[in-house]
Amino acid sequence: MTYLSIIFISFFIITALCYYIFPKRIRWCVLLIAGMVFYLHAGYDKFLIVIATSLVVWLASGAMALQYRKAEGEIAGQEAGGKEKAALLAKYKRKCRNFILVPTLCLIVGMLAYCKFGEMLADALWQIFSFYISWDVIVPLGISYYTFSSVGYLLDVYWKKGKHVDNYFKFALCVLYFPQIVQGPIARYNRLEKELFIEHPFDYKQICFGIQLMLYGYAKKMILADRLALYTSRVFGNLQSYEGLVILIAVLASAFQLYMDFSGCMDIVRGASQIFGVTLDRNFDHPFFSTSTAEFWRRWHITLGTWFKDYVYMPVAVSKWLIKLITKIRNKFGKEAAKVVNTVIPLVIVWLLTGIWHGTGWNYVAWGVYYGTIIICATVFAAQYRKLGEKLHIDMTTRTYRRFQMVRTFFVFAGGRLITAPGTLADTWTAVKQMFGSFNPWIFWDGTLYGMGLDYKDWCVVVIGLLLVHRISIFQEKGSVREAVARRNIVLRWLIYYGALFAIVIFGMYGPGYNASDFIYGNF
Amino acid sequence: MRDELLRLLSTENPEIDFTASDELVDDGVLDSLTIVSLIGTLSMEYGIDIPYEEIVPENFNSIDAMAAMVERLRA
Repeated sequence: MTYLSIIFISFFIITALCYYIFPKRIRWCVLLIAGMVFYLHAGYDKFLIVIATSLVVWLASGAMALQYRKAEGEIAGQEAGGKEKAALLAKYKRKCRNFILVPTLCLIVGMLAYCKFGEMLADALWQIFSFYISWDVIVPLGISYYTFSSVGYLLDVYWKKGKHVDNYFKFALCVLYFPQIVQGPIARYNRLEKELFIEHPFDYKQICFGIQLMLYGYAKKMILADRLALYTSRVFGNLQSYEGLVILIAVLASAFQLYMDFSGCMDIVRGASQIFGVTLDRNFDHPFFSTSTAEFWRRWHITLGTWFKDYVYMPVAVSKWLIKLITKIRNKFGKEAAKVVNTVIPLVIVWLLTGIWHGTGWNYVAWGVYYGTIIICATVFAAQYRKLGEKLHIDMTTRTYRRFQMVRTFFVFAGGRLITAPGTLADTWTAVKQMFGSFNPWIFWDGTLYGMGLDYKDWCVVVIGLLLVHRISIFQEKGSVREAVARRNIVLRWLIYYGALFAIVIFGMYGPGYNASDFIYGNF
Repeated sequence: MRDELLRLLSTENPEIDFTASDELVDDGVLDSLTIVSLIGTLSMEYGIDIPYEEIVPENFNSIDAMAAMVERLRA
């Protein structure tokens, strides 16, 4: 049930009506049933897998909570303090780690790995041993998202940074909450739990704001992302036939396409959730205004970035083995070398994992190496870069320099798209060769550009649309656009609403036989 | 302890004013990269293991909080 389908919109309206018809204290049950229906629509086998996974995770977190309660009881009983208390806690923690946490993590991460690499493994077996296995992998909807959320939840309970959710059905709702199951944001169950189980009153303003955000998301996806997809898929699908600026424009267009697609989906998801009174974590914070690649990744897919920071980067960076290693390096090579190693090792691990999360091909590993190298170099050589700027008398505080940094960051992002968008590393190499093989500015006036999926009018819609989104983003940086619209008089307000709706109806990419393309991040 | 720690961290990170705020993490003075470097310094200098559950903003928000954490872990 894609968010763009009539069936989803009908399902959503019915759910919203039921939600507000039922008494406040059982509204979460409506959302649970809706989540189950939504998931069952994807297939009962997938539904069974997600229910079994959520049950295993819930039982594991309950078992850990029980162990910690036992430890506290024992400490109170023995009136233990200081080292004795720490030793008792460590004993129970070890038990939790060895018998509950590690087996559960292996199981759920193993399932994710099976879904992601199962077919690849079957292909490899066939190629190496000519041994064929009919491998029909069932991929549950949003498996990456709920697996990451579950891993985070289990680790939080283990580290005592989060609490076990006592009621299984409430926990199941955190996993199955339908607006976010397909494409995230990656939920922190303890935070989501607080949002879902507050008794939300009917709030007209929140509902209006939610609808507006959904409309904005649909506009981004249907007017811009799906329109750009026609051009990019044509070029990347026939790389040998195109060259020079045609490919360069496809790379830049695919950068905008991905942003409009993913952030559009997040607007739909957050808007839908706002209608229920539930605030989801932000996943985008105008990443194209970033002045560095590191900042870009703090503003793009925020929940993935913070997940990697909290559950991979920090634990690795402060792990005993790394501290031992940097102590040795400090004693041998000095403080600066120790600092560099302390920065580089966790970042290498994070970026390799981020690459593998995004896809299974070698181009995704290369993509991880690409971003990892840029961010590590920027961090390690920050002082030298600053000194170079001073030597060259470059004032890094001016607005012009900031704009230069933003454009530079965008091109770094577009470089990342060049690695993944064509499909494989071989395709990327073809794209690079073809792109630098010729310089053909005449495509802008000889009609070439307007005969590859998008005509002249389509390009006008794209350019005007992108400028509008840019303008709205500038307003959003300064304050709430929806609050500003709400303050306008009723005529202007409704003109804006109808304008947005008609823009989607008139310029949206659909029609007889048209199938709205899936969201790019929906396949994870 | 507090003054000793302040001297150590200020020498290691001269660009940071550790007395500027009581909410160094929440105010964005310390980011995750800096916290990792502080943890490395504290572990090496005081011979302590800082377990991951101790790495919460409250323990790094001020020099007093960091000193209290080091003393607690040394006990």
